[in-house]
Amino acid sequence: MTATETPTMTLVEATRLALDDALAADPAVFLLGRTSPTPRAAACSTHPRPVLEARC
Amino acid sequence: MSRVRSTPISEQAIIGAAIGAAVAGMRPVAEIMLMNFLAVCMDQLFNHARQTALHVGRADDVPLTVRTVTGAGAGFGAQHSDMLEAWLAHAPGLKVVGAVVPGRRLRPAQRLHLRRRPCVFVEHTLLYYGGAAGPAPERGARIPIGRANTVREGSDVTLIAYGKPVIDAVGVADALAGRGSASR
Repeated sequence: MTATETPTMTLVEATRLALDDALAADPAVFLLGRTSPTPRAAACSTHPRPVLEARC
Repeated sequence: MSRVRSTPISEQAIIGAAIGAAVAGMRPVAEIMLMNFLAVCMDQLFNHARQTALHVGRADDVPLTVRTVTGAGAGFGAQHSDMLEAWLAHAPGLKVVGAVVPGRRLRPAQRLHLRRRPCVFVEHTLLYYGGAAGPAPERGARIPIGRANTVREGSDVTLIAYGKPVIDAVGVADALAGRGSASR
């Protein structure tokens, strides 16, 4: 793979992936918080977890 | 139990429930959408979350992670923009993290959730509106919290920042480079 082909992502994307990892790795992990079902959040949603998508 | 719990808009209830769950053996990741509203949870964070482990002489009793967002530049107003991490950082027993771009060895929330002590993970609002990208992290890779990352090398000026201002510092370094100064 060349340097120009190195995959990149933003911190927000990396954090979502990290939470995916955390949920998969440990059944004691869970997320809690308020949801914000705004049109913007819905439009950005690629993830079934509303707590995370609320900030999108 | 659902792995994602939707809560009322009550920051005290969110943090209080998360502390109770953490003490009971769970590993909650609590979302406080805007950092200003952590102010209403300060008693729980300062007097319960961080001190519970200290009171009983053990360092592994409250594996609580709090995510929150704040920062100027998005026009969210005064009560949605204050950066209060200095308050938190002055509290022994409470770990505060402010990241900016992922690195190949950085999956920040993963690192935090594995901690056994309370942590607050602070994200800048503007990172949700086109934050800078970095190398995609490798699955399972981690870096130690509390160790500085050198973004670029230079010998004339040292710029130190955390969180989103790192992006601004890189911009300053670029401008200085155009004037012949090498910034670290």
